[in-house]
Amino acid sequence: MPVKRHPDYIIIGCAGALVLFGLVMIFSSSAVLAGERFNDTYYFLKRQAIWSVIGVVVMIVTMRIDYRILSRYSALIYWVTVAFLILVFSNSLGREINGAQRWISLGFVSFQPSEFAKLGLIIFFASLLAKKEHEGKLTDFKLGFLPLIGSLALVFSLIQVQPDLGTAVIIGLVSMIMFLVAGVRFTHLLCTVLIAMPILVTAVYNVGYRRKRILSFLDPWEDAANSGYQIIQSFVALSRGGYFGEGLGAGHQKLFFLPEPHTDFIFSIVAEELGLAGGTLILFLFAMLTIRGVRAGLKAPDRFGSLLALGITFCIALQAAVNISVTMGVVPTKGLPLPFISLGGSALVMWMASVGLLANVSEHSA
Amino acid sequence: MRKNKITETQVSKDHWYRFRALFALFILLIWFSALGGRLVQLSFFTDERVERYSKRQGAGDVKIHLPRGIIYDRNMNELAVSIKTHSVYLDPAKVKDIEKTVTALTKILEPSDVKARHKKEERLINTVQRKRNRRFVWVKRKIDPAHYTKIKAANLKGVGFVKESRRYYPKRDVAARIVGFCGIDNQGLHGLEVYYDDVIGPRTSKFNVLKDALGRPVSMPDAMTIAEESEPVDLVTTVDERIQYVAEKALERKVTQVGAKGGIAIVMESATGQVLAMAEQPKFNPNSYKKYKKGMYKSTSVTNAVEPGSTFKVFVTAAALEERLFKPYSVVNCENGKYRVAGHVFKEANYQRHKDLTVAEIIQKSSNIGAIKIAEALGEDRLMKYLKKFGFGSKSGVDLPGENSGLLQPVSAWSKTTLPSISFGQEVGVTPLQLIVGLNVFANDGYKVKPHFVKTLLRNEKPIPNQPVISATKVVSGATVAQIREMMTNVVKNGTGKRGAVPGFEVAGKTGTAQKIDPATRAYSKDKFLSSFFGFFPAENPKLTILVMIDEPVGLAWGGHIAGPVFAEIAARASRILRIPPSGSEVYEVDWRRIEEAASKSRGDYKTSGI
Repeated sequence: MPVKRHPDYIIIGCAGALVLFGLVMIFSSSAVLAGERFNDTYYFLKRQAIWSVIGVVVMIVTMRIDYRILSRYSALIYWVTVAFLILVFSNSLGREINGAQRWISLGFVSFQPSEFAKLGLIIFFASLLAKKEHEGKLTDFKLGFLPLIGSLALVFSLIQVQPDLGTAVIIGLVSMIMFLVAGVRFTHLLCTVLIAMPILVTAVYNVGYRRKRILSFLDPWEDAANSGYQIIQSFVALSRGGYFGEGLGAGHQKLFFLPEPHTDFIFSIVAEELGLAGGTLILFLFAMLTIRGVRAGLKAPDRFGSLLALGITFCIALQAAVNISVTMGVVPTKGLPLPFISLGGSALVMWMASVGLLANVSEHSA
Repeated sequence: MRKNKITETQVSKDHWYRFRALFALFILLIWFSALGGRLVQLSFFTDERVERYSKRQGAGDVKIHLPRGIIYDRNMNELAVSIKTHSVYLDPAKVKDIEKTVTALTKILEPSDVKARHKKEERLINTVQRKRNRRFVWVKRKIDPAHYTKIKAANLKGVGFVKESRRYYPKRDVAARIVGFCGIDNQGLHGLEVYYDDVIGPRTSKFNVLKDALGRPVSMPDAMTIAEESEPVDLVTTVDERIQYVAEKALERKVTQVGAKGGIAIVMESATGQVLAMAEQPKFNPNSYKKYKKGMYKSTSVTNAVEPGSTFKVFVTAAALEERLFKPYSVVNCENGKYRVAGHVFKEANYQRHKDLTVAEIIQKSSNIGAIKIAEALGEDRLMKYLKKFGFGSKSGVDLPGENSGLLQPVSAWSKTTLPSISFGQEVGVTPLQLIVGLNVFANDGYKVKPHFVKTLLRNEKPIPNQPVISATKVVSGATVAQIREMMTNVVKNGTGKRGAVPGFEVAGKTGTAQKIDPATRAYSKDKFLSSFFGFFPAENPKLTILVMIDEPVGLAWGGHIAGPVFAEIAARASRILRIPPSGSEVYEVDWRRIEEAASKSRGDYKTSGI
């Protein structure tokens, strides 16, 4: 048995800094909006603060348990995840917001199962990959690859039809990276991607707003007043910041110029108000978290813990990179929030639970 | 336990696993770095189209209405001030139940007048329904402070307030015809308020502020910035509020007493031409000007020309004396009451008959035929020359809007009877202000001064330098002035103007009783008169020049009878206010108690008149 040591404080510190930074930025970016919509400038800040307290509690729990227990219940976790993703469509519990069925409402609280699906799937795959590896079936197509890709496909399509393509893509990417790192054959994966590609492309092109997003990504100035509007406004925000920004709270773009300033485009507001310094700080914190996460993963005492840590780390890093890339016009608009920072209760709790697990693994590192 | 051991050894051995994980990390770190580079690019190498957007949006000008300057009287009493009020508006997007909200609002705004309330309700609901997507609908501008408190307490959703400045006239109807008033947007509409609109307001200053995407200003410049920017200019008028008040009260009493249509009283500082008071009847309260008829707002002393009547004889006589055609004791044949010129028979007033009168007696008894004879001696051109010099027929340039130049036909347009008519103040139109300006020539040693109402302009409570100098022009010589003063003094002592006498002072005066032209018959009316009295005192060293006109008194209309006492009252009380030392040879016992009583009584009226 490896000696139990202290968790990686850098991981916890980075995550904590991002959450606190997020609270400040949520208030700065949403105060005007909240005042307008709810007559309470603190509306979003209050909610996010409550969620972050819940998040801290959850994080402490996930840090304290023995993460290896999760491996034992991984199949259960997978099926519960699937069940929740199906429940989203039920009439009594599901809730439709902005034309998407992503929410489950329990009366006093509502949450997005797709957020928890990320963590659920990472746990499940970490366990499954470790098991297949142990059994030596990882390179086997029928016994190794098919069950993996099959369980991914089920969750992927359930999230895809909500529709929440952004989360589905993140889950897909993270799973595949986990497969590859674990040692699944590259050719197997390549074939799957080649088969899935036409389906994905049709999915994108058959939905009007997604096609628009892609086209406006290619040239936002083509339709600057409509589909290109958001990304142009994000450019404006990023251009205004300079070295140290216009000052916290002093940004213009959140004044209804830039849509979703407190969620998907919060990074633009950070860059506007805190400039290159603020933007770089966020990138640095995520990079640091990624490095320490991979370190924890490679030092983990067992394959399950290793893959769990790597999966969580890649998930955080990927989503952060994709979100920031969207605000900079590097990839098409996805509708993905920035981990720890953007507004969103279930997401925050999920990220903090993940970081708790990450710290948990790091605690056991050899 | 066995399982774990195996896994442990596998991990440590599996270099490829390590490599793949580190490779993934490497890709992610490259990605983060690339995003850092992209951030630098977007921040410092901005697309010019983005920059255009950036410049265009967010910043905008807001117009802020700066409060108008204060209008003071000559002793720095406030005649017009700007006060802060609130205006109510509706934001239809935020209103939940429009009918309920509107009803609650109108109940507060129109508590008693049910009809007005319903009208307002209907109008508001209609507007809101028509302009559903508008975020701003005025409910009422510049509401009462009490209403503001009530609406605020009602805490209605979608009801908002805008702070606005509003004009308030603390002296209410006093000096209203001079000061004038402003409209709902604080734009000057009448009086000094409009004449000096460019100077004291309404100024809007543009401030560059932050605006949100819907064009709404997010922040407003703070009060200090506005104050610095605005540098309010205040007017100090020549008006003496106390004398204005005295003049208005004296005039009002007389007009009421004789059932006249209206009246005018002007008090001028003799040496400077500054107008101390300009009272007009009927009055109005500028704080609620909408309650009065539109025609009531004009300062008729400058906007309306009238036939002056006998007061005009003074100017004709002065011209003849200046030309040395007569001496005060030169005798003139007054034709025993009937004088035919070009087929028209001129008569004396009140069917009087005079045979031979000296020039001084012509003024004293106000003989029409005597005046005609003097004018005839002058001839048309010389008469015209002097009338122009006295300022008739042209605008005085007074600082009030809508000044009338009067009516003085060119000589070429005169008929045979024009010259004789003008000699006693007919066929000539003058404004009351022109008349007092002309008269003031005799009070001011032969110099004509441009009349004015504003003494100084103040910026930040300090006088603005380089203000125009009021120039004076010589009209008649000192000798003529002395002779005219003597004759006018005699009018008050022994002639038609006895009732214009002021206890303790020697007064120079002249009466006038002008027949008015009946608009129906276009002939001189038999019973409609303009009774006037003008004069100055103390006669030997004039301080104040005063004109009183009573329009269409009922019954006895003699200028001396009707206007004379008003003159005397204003003069007596003004002399006390200004502490002009009594100087006459005869010392009268002044019954101040009676005057005080009258004053306190009328002050009482003033108090109950309300806003």
